[in-house]
Amino acid sequence: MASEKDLMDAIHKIEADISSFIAASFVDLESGMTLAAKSNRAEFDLSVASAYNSEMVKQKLKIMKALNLKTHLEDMLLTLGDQIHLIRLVTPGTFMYLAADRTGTNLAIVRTAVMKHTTGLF
Amino acid sequence: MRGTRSAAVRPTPEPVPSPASLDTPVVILDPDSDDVVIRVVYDGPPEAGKTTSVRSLAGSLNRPVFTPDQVEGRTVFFDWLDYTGGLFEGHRIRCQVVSVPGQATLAPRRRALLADADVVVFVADTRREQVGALPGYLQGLARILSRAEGPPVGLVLQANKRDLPGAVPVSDLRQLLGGAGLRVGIVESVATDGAGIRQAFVFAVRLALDRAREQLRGGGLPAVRPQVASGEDLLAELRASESGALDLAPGERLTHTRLAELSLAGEALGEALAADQTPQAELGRMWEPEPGGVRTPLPPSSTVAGGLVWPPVKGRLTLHEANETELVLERQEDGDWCGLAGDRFRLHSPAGASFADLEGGRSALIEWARIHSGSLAVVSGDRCIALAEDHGRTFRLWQVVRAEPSLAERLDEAPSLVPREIAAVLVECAQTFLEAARLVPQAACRLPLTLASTRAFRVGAPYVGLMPAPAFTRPPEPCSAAMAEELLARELTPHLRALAAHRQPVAAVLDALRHDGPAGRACAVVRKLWAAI
Repeated sequence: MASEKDLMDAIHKIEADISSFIAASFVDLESGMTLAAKSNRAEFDLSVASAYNSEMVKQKLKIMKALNLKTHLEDMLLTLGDQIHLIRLVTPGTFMYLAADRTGTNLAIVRTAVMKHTTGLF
Repeated sequence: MRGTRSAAVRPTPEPVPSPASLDTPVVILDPDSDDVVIRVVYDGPPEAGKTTSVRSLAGSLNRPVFTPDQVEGRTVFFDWLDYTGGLFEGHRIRCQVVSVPGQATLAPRRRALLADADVVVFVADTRREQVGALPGYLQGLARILSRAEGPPVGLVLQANKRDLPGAVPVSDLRQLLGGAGLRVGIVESVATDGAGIRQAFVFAVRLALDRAREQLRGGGLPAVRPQVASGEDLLAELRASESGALDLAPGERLTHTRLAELSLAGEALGEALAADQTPQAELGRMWEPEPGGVRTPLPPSSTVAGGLVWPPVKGRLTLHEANETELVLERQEDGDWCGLAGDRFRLHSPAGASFADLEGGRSALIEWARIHSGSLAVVSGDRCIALAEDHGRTFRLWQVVRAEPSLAERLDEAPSLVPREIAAVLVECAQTFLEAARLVPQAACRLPLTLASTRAFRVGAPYVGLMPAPAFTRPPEPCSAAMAEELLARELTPHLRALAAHRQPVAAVLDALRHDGPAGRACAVVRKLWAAI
């Protein structure tokens, strides 16, 4: 398993690639606890966001199961009025959650940066 | 001690209450905040890095640490860290992180703090000169934890100081602990720079949630307001329960805990609770036929969802350990999948153990867990079963069994021994096998007893082989002495043939042996078998 330092390094690299980076965390899917986290906004409670996003991932996996989809979940993209949120499963039990300001980036950049710096971490 | 179901810790005539006198420690649900409250206790030898770990964790989580008093930089009461994060069944998880004091004079305080643990992170200095005492210390701790009612309390070994020269390789640590019969998850750390601290904590939380889930299954989480909601509360509670008995201890002489003393203290806490009793579950539907295809399945991981591994806490620890080494899987002719994780664990998944949906797999898991729990007296304990997600959103049931030395291995080594040793090995193996044959009918199903599935050295439960899958189980049948001897003859004869070159001198030694009781019977059987070849 990657150490917290490795995970923080990955977050820092992603932050460097995304100019409007708000926050990012690596989250243990089962418990919703963060393994590493960084937020540039004091009001953005990354712990809470990570926990509830773990529920969202679990629900999505349940939906896939209910639909009998024989594939895996790669990532989830969410577009808010002024933010982009990306969830990417880095292992079956761990995901990365990232939030960025829409004004300074787009989905493709966010997705590429996250994929680039999380592949091979675990 | 943690909830208000019963009154706050009751003052007792004794200066320090034993853990048994306190309320039953369980995971609780705070009705005010709707949080699940778990207690993570950091234990370990003096100067191993308990306080450093808790402070490092606090820094990582951006939370303050409450430390009541310190003498000469040493913890006198505890370190307290409160962190809310994650979700369990829709409830936020409030983690009360507590470290214990290490001084021998404060051992009762340590035990009182451990009595409330839902999971323990044992911080150990893993330099070569320090690890020798580790098994004894952990065994003492395991005895304390075994007193906890309800689902078992998980134990994580945080192997600390990995940056220092002389740090023992993790494989050696495993061997050391395995030899002492200890099963713990190991996470490497360097507390001074925070490496591994968060991983150990999150792994510990997972184990605590396994405990909570078992509790939930057995009747639910009690909705009670936590008696202890802060470090100040815990301090007040400890002071009240101790009645000042330990106040002078640190001031008198601040000695570090000697491991032997603590180990003895642990023994004094008494016998372990009665064996686990897994609730009887409804029989699930029988196993589905294997779908086509020979793609190598995905093995079980320690990140498997709660409820999909049995036993709930120890099973995850077994998977964690098995995941640390490279796994090689092979498909057998009969379609079963077999694997080896290093030379420490065997994995097995029968051909029919693939399920198209989670519920089908879970029913089979429960059914199999029931067979396992009914066989605890006979079957080796270092094993688990797990339902792992496989390719294409299917699920596969696995059993993971620690590779224990077997009678067959002992006999395979025999040709290299001198006649006297060969004779001793033959008699010992025969005696062990005959005893195992007597015990095996006590299992919940018929077990395929062979020399390869019988544990050598007569320590612990005798059966170390794979459990038959539920679809292939048959009721146990009694094994008479004559049947046991017949079975032994069938198993032992090939080994005796392999020892033909040593026949004369070994037979002479056997003839000279004078044993009584079971050993005498075993000796007679071996003589008879040898004469018949």
